[in-house]
Amino acid sequence: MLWFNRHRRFRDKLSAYLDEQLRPDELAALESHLGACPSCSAELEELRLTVAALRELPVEPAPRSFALTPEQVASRPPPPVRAPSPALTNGMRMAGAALAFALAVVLVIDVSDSGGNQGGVSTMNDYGVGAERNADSSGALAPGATTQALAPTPTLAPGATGQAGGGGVGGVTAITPTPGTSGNFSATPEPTPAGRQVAETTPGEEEAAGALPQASPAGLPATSEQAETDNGLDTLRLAEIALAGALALVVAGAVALAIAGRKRTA
Amino acid sequence: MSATVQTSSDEGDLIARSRKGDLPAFNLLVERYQTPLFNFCLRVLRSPQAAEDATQEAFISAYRALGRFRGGSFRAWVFRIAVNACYDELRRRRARPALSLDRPERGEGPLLEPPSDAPTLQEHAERRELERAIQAALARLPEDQRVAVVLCDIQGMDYAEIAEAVGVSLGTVKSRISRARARLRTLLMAHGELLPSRFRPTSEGT
Repeated sequence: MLWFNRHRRFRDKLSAYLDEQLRPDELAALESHLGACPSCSAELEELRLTVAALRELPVEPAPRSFALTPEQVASRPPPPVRAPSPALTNGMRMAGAALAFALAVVLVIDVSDSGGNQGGVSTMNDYGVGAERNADSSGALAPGATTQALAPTPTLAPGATGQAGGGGVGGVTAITPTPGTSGNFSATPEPTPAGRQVAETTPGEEEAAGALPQASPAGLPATSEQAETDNGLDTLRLAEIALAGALALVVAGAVALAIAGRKRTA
Repeated sequence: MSATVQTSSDEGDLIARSRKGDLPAFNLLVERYQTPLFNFCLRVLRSPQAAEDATQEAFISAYRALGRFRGGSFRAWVFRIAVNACYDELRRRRARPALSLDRPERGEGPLLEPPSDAPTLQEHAERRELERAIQAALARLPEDQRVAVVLCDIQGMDYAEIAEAVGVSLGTVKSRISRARARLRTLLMAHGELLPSRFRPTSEGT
């Protein structure tokens, strides 16, 4: 047993030895062992031959030129395989959309009931616009230009911007922060040119604003906490909290899918 | 074999221009890396067609991702993209195993035309034999080990560059290479008759 273990330790180092990757003390120990051990020496020799055979593999010429054409880099749709299954993505989008819509309705009712700030019905028009923008799914290769729509522009739902976009080839960070959306209360629908989703809010949706910037579900619990400004209708509050929570789960699930889709086995 | 090199200045210039949308400049980079990238994909994926697709994929991705290149070894960076393209293809194959049956595994046709520099038929036949034996052995490695050993012993990258290209630690690289070589040794030596004679271990050793 001991013999076997000692040899195993040396044999594990043979490869590094070939690449001159051993520390001086390891090197000395191995070389001294090799001097006395025919079987490890034989194995080293066979490893050397193996590496030599690999290095002698013919280098195949490229079968053609891989030079890119402008068409290839401009209009080529990103490869679909990076996305999670379309059914799942669509399901999540529908769920996200439905929840966002329901949340919006509830919030509007809440706000108009408390007779306070101007309702945000108009911003719900952005919803449709924004949803079209990021309709394509899949891991984009453009630097941040295409995103994977997690929840289609839930303009009234806090924090649920579809930012877990692809382009993961270079080991890219998934979430690109949307600049300047914190505390953005303007109701102007203004999709940014890079296709990033800016979650617009109306002044009425103060509780939503605090959770805007990143597509992180962590923002959403804050919403439910802030949602007790008014001691209005308990039912409405519960509905808001429940919907916001459910939306958070959907967004979290979609983000997790996007990340898992790019993860490589170690 | 090339050691790890920092991006040379003319390459740096090409990269800078490419980032600004200078496609011809990028295509000079493509020219420089297409043969190594294609060979890498070929050894990992075994199929010339798949290798071609993965290589094309990788260059398109690389162009689009140029904004994210932060300096350091451009070779490792572009190989990383190729590694990912290969993993994608391998994953696709796992998802649809039936379709991979028609991929040529042995004796892929176009590659086995006599290279113009082979002096004799004998030597050419030996090369084919070697290629077939190694390709078969590589195919039996787990994918991670295959990628590591191809980058090391076929592309000539050092451990640090491989770690960058694959996105794992140096220790993981060392261990994958060690295991890959040990397994290849077992496979190749066991079927020594497939190897050209100079690769068969002799009793005297060398």
